[in-house]
Amino acid sequence: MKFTCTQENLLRGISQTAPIAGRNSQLPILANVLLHTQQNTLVLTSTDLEIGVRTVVGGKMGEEGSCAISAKKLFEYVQQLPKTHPITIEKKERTVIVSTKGFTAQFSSADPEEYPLLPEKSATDGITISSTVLCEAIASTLFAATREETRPEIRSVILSWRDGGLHVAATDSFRLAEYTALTPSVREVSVLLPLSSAQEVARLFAQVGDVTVTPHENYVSFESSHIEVTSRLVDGVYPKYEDIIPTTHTTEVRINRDEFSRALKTISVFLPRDSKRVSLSIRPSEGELTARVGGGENGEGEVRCEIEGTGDDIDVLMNVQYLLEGIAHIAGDVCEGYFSGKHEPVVFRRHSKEDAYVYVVMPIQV
Amino acid sequence: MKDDQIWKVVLDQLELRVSRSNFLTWFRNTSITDRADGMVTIETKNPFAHVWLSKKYRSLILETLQGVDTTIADVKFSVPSQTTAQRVVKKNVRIVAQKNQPLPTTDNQQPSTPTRIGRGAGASSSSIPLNAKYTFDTFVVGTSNEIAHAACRAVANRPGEAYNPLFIYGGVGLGKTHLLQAVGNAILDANPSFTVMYVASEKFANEFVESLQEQTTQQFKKRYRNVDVLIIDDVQFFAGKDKTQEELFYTFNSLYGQNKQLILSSDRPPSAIPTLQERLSSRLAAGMIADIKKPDYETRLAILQEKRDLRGVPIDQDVLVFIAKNVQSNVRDLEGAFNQVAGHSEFHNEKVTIEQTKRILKDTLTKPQRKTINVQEIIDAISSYYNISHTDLCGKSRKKEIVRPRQVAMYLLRKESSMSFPSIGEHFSGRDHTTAMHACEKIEKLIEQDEELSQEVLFLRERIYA
Repeated sequence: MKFTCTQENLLRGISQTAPIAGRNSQLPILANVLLHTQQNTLVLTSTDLEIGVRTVVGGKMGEEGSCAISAKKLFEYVQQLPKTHPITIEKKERTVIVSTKGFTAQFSSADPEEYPLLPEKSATDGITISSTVLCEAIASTLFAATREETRPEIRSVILSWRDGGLHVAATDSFRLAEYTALTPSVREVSVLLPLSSAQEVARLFAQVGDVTVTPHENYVSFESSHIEVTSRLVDGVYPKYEDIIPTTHTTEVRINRDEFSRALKTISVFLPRDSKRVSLSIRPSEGELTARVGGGENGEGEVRCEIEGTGDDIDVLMNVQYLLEGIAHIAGDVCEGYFSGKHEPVVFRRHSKEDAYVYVVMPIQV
Repeated sequence: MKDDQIWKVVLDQLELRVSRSNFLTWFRNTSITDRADGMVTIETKNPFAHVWLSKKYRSLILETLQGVDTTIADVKFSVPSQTTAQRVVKKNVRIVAQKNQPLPTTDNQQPSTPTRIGRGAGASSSSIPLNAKYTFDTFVVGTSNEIAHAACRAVANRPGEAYNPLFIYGGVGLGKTHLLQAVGNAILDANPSFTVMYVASEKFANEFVESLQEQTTQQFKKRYRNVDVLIIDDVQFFAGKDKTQEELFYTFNSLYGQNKQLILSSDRPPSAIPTLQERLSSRLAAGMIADIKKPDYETRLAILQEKRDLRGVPIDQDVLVFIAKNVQSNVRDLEGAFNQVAGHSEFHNEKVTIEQTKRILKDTLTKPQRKTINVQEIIDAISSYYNISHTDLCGKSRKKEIVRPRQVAMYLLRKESSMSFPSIGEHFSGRDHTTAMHACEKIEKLIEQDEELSQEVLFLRERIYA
């Protein structure tokens, strides 16, 4: 096996695959990245048996072949190499020599035949979507997914194509974020993507053009021109979250997003240790929203924001972190809040021509 | 044979032929789902494993299957597709939906440790057998157990923070269970909302096996990973149960990662439990290890006084002193002797004198403390413990691996059967009596210095008298 390419291309390939390698410590070979040369390309593969990543690097091929070498070492080494000269990868028996002008390194290769294979494709009819939309959808909901390992069905992000759009949602059962991209979909299909895979998809497909999502019988693949990600699906059923989103409200407000966010951050200073509790007093008739933290050893604070709104006066206790995380993902200047009482879920919404965003969060009960 | 029996036999054979990491990675959660006309369908949960099994292990699996059942002609592999998966988990869906409709209205002020709804239900279903009579107040502290007691107190005051995990070890009847339960009770008193799970290791293992059989491992995992305090008694019984150890290991990591308190007990330190996987034993030893030794005379007396006050029986101090002096083995025997005397006193409604005590406890005290042990039993115990044949043990070889066990054997023969030195020497290929004397002295000295050896000898003694 022999292959030559630029440092930048090689580094891109390795940095896409290396983070997956080594996650599964049960099988030692998975700490390696599999390199394979074919038709003037170098294919890098890594997997932790939950997700598999395959990426293609262009260059000049000398000889076809494959090897499996330590992902971490290769990444750290190539990262340091100069960009000025091409890098050559050459396999001699069980050692792999990676060299460029002035630098030579020998890696020992594991048996590439022992490297796990990625699942074979069993379906061909994928859905093509712009990577910007896909990544935006995942990135703006991912934060709401639970981190609890005991609840795998919601330690995930659900992607479902239905009703003429792509709905992406995540919840930890205290709050829910849903992003809807109004792109026409050919068919109805839904994919329950594990949290870790969702993170990788959002990381790997940022700005790569179009992505084709193909749900297979028991796994899903994401493909762009250079990268292919294969992920296991979550074994479970996502709760019917549509029913949780309230459709009625008693109070409706519009508030400047930056101002609201600054107000919340300001009063967070006074939060007692381990508490995230902020009380909001909404007075639509006076055009005012007051966020208050009080009563602790840290002193107390109060910030007023101007609002436009209609409906009843409402006082609610909210988790400030949940609020901040939610409104951070509401793009635009203005965020719309819908309240229905101190025990009812609070809804934040944003609409535009192309997409919609809903964030539902439960108030704190005392 | 049934499908699952066949598959178990096949797995047992495959385990020998592929490396351990490969076996665990690829063959875990596999099962035979269908067998008809010589075609066997093997199901795996992971699509990655599906490819690997069908590409790499197909012929090996087929060959092994045919070795078990000659009617099998071919094998194919499957992964449950989404639709079948949904059928299987349907039962869970209902619960999930309830939990999330509407978003739970519990206190969500602390996202780091959100109060999960349904926790209360989880706690009650697991029925914690904590015995309210075991509290710190009724635990008598002496020099033999003060460290263990202090560590438990600290843990009870600051669960998950003070010492995690806490590992208590000591011989039978010295109060391990009392201390563990006292911690559980104290934590529950201070934080009624906490879920405290107390479980004997045997129960943990049985439930795990049951969950494997009934395919309810998820519920099993949920039950043990959703607690605030997990107390496991007598972990030495995990020795040799690899799968259970693995499960304990994951449970351990999951709880430890969430700063949940773990408390474990055993009759010996983690490093001395045979066949405990190293990664598990090192984790068990990572927090605080405290031992409970046999109570000294003062402690024994204090225990008896405590018992007397608790029971409200008028028993003279002299009588208690007599019992404390004569019953030395462990707290449980001490309690037994006390109960006999107290029972007599209550029944006859009179104060018990020393003379009467002697009579009452005659059987207990004069009962030969140990059954007589013959030479063969000791030799058997040693050769099986160290895995050395009789001929080697009693033979002429002076290899290091054999010499130490042989010396231990001589020491135990001398101590436990009071054989004379010359006849001990005689037994080991006619060695000189000075050889036997040297062995006894040497082991006696080493036991003082070498904790591991002392544990070995203790363990051997227990085996001999078991």
